[in-house]
Amino acid sequence: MKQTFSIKIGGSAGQGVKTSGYILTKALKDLGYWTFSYSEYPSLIRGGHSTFQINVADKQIGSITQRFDILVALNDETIEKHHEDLNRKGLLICDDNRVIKPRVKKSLDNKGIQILVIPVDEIVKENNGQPVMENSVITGAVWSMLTKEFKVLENQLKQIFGKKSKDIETNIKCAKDGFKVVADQYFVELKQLKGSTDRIIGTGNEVAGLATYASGCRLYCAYPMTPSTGILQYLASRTDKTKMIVKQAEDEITAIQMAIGASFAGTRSACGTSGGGLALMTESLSLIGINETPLVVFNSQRPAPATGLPTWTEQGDLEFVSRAGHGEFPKIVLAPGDINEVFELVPQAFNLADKYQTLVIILLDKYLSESWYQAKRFKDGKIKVSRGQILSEPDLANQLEFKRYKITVSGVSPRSLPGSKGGVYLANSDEHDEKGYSTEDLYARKQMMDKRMRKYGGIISELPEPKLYGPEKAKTTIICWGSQKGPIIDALEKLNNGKSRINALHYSFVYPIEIETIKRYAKRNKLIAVENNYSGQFAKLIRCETGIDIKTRITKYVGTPFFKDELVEILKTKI
Amino acid sequence: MAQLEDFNTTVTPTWCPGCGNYGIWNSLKQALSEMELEPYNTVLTYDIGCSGNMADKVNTYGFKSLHGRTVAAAMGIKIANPELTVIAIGGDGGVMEEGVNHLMWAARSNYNITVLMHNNQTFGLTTGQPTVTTEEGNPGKTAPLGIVENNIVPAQLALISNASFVAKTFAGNPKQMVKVMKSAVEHKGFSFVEFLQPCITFNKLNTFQWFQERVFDLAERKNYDASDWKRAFETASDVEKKIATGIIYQDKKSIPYSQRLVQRKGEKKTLVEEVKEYSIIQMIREFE
Repeated sequence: MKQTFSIKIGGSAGQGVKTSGYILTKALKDLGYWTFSYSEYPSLIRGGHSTFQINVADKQIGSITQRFDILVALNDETIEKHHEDLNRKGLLICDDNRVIKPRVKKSLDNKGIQILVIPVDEIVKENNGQPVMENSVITGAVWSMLTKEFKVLENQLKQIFGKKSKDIETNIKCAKDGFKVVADQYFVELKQLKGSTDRIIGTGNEVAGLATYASGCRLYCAYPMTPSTGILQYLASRTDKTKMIVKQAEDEITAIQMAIGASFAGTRSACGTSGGGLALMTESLSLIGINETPLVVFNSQRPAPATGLPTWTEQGDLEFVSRAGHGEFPKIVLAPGDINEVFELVPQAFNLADKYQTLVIILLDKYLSESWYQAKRFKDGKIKVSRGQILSEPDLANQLEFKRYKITVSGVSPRSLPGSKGGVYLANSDEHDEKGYSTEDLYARKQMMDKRMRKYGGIISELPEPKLYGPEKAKTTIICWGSQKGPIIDALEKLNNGKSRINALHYSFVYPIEIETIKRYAKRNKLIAVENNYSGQFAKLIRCETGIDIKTRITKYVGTPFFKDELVEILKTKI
Repeated sequence: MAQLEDFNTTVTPTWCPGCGNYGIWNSLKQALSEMELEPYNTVLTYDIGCSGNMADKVNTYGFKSLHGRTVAAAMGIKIANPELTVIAIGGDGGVMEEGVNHLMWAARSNYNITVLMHNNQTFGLTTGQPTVTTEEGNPGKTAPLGIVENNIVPAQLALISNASFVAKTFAGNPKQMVKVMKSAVEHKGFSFVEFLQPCITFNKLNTFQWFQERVFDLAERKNYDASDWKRAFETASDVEKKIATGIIYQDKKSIPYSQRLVQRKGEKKTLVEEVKEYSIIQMIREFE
């Protein structure tokens, strides 16, 4: 029985492509299967063309494939655009209004593709439903080709439509009639498996929001910008429970300035944006550099320059963020590879920001921010808040004279919070002395620069090694970072096929970089950089920091992530 | 209780002799001590420019931001800890140009902060370029033939942005400055105070004498009703021959931002006190 397959649903924006896909994803999880779901949509509200793809497997996955087994067409464009990527012996499901051109029909027949036409209008009419319920019929029909367990789908329909629609019963009837169109004929026959009850489904943005809350962040500020808006909306929609203040500011400059002000006042705060918004925030990154206020900034990348491709994906901002801000000051850039790493790294980011009183940028991208990952449920109580060196009033009372920017060996100076007696100081954007007062004494300037930059010593000493995936003995090593972890790991198994050909080093701490591991690998292995950008920005950073030049660079910058099958084909020629 | 001297630092001012900043500086310290505020529960935020050079000369918690950002930083500080008195200081360049959007939003959001805008109608620290408040036709270093743009009247802008407190005071009148600043800080909600401040070095037109001949105090007009927005707007707009100072507008019923937030109703702690690990047991259920 085939248990690794994929479904692509296509339609116009507003036709419910995403809702159908999401319901099927959740139902497949409930049935016991692992899924990875990814959507593509244009930057508009109605019309256009959007798709939702679900890859299904019997183990955890983090990627989609370029080619798929089932195509669900809610409009003609879907058939026209995607039929060529349907695998042999695949399945096309559509409603009876669709026009399949003779040329397309011939091609489908040649590949042995089954076409299933569903009388959608008729079913909706019979049930006195609304036109929008067409996608419930289709969802039922798709489900019927996968399993006989209608109950599982019904539960999800109830959960999802129960919140939105009063007409939940009609929706279920429509789905059931769609389900009945094809009886006992399966494309794959999925049985109910056990073990998925301790799993969750979430997007990178949702998990980033969850982890931000769990880490004790009490103020989140942002200006809406795709694909980072999901964090803002997730947090905003849960303030009744979290009691957080979630502030949609008038622009990105305000968002970050408010977050910095709040952090100076002593709470934990964060802000989030995409590349264009981060460009506006850049002057404020430099402000943190000199006034040493802890701050976490999320940047969910999308293809640029400028407005670029707003709803597509790219790892194009690494070079920008690692250099962002005028002047020199310590900063940390993290790039989680999946939702588990998002949940793990966000609390670390807050702790590092507090410990080193510095800027921590978390790089996400549309792929990680907006894809639906399935993972083991995160354990509660694992997050520890560590606030670094904050002096209480009794601590301050014991000091002869409090100097906020005291020159220290570690470069970190204990801070006071406004409201604390004895801790008065000036957080100054001018170069300053130990008390925070402006100075143009050039010796004091040197001392203060040296103090701030010494923080890198501590930061570098606690950088984790990159994680190795695949067989240790392999002679070829992929160097990768951030969100492309999923496609790369998924490709490894197929490439090795039981042998030890290729492995991958994945970095989630991308600036500064831990350099010893790659030095070891460079001595004995062939290195290949795989990056979702034009020039191989991480490879360039590595060359800058280590002198190691990774000459083989596989890059992609067309707005889509690496597809597993595509990556396998490319890498085959390199090992 | 803190005295005026407690707000002094060891740093000597560097403003030009005769600059209006000396008067504003002393009046500010006077107002803070008269309100029985302490250096440790007061935060002043600063901008860049001559007003920003006050940063190390007042002994309170201070936050000197970037140009234009004094108000934006102040909003965040107040949200995090509403128990602090937060006052944002800036000039006409920072508040009316680089950061004018922050002023408008702070006003419409009604954060419980005070903005003190030093309006000397010139960029002083960069040695005399015109600003948005320089009257049309006046020369400046980057407009030697006179600027051709219309000027903005700050109090008008504050009013149309829904500021719940708008006042104007003259840097040559310490008594009025203290009184107006106290009213502004004690106002529940957003307050905007414009200082009419001569720049004795670079603004040869709007001198102390020029202002003396024009200013009058609204407090002396018994029938002036500061709760009447339309009248306030008219008063703020009339800057040709006579310039009204004092409290131009005040909505005494205004509800500050933090009290408008539904999720914060009944919450006693500040966001600063709430930083700790939070359980995800409830929230994770939505992901099942």
